[in-house]
Amino acid sequence: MFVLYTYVAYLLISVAVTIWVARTLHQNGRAFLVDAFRGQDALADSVNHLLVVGFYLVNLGWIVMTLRTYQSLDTARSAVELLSDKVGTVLFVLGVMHFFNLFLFSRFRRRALDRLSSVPPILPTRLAPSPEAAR
Amino acid sequence: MTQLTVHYDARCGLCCAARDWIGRQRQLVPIVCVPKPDGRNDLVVTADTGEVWEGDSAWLMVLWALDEYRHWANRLASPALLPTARRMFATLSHYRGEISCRLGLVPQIE
Repeated sequence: MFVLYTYVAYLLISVAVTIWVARTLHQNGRAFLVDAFRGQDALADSVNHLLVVGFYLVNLGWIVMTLRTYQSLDTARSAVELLSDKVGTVLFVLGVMHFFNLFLFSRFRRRALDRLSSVPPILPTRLAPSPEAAR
Repeated sequence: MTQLTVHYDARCGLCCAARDWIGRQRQLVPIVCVPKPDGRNDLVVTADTGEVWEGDSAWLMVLWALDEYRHWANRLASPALLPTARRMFATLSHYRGEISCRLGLVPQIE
């Protein structure tokens, strides 16, 4: 019976945490994306939604794939330990995915800022009084 | 700065291919490519505001003017990567004749 309880507890905790992280990402990532896409709200919302869908698929896929255990659970202690192991792994994967999404958001934003910047990345070799004189 | 003029070596196949490639890119600062009148080796980029970039700096400015590559230009111009980028561009520029031959790129007048 311990195995079944562990599975149910694992699924409940993991899915709940995944939903919480995905919602956090969805709500707080929007501002980054709107900025990155120069105020184009519809495009930002679309990318935000697609990222969250990918996030759900990867995480729920991971949770389902790692559900099974071959360990025999005879005591409550072993059940809690297994649950802790599995939930810990899910939290770790969620953390990695979350930072990966933050990396994507910041890259989108940095690229947008690069586009707006009018300062050349490197100092000129020399100055010419006019473009004609430079030739 | 509203325009960059790239003075390239029209006798070099690689340079002509690069010119055509620049023409196909989305440009954040409009680029005009003109063949160099003299036999100078370095690529030269001039801005309509009077700045002149030569050699490896000119390569970076060309990348900076392109929408897809501005991010790369800023990254390559960072203190950590600039020496490597300069060497890379200098090598490419030095061997452009040989590279053109090996790739079968022949100079083409626009």
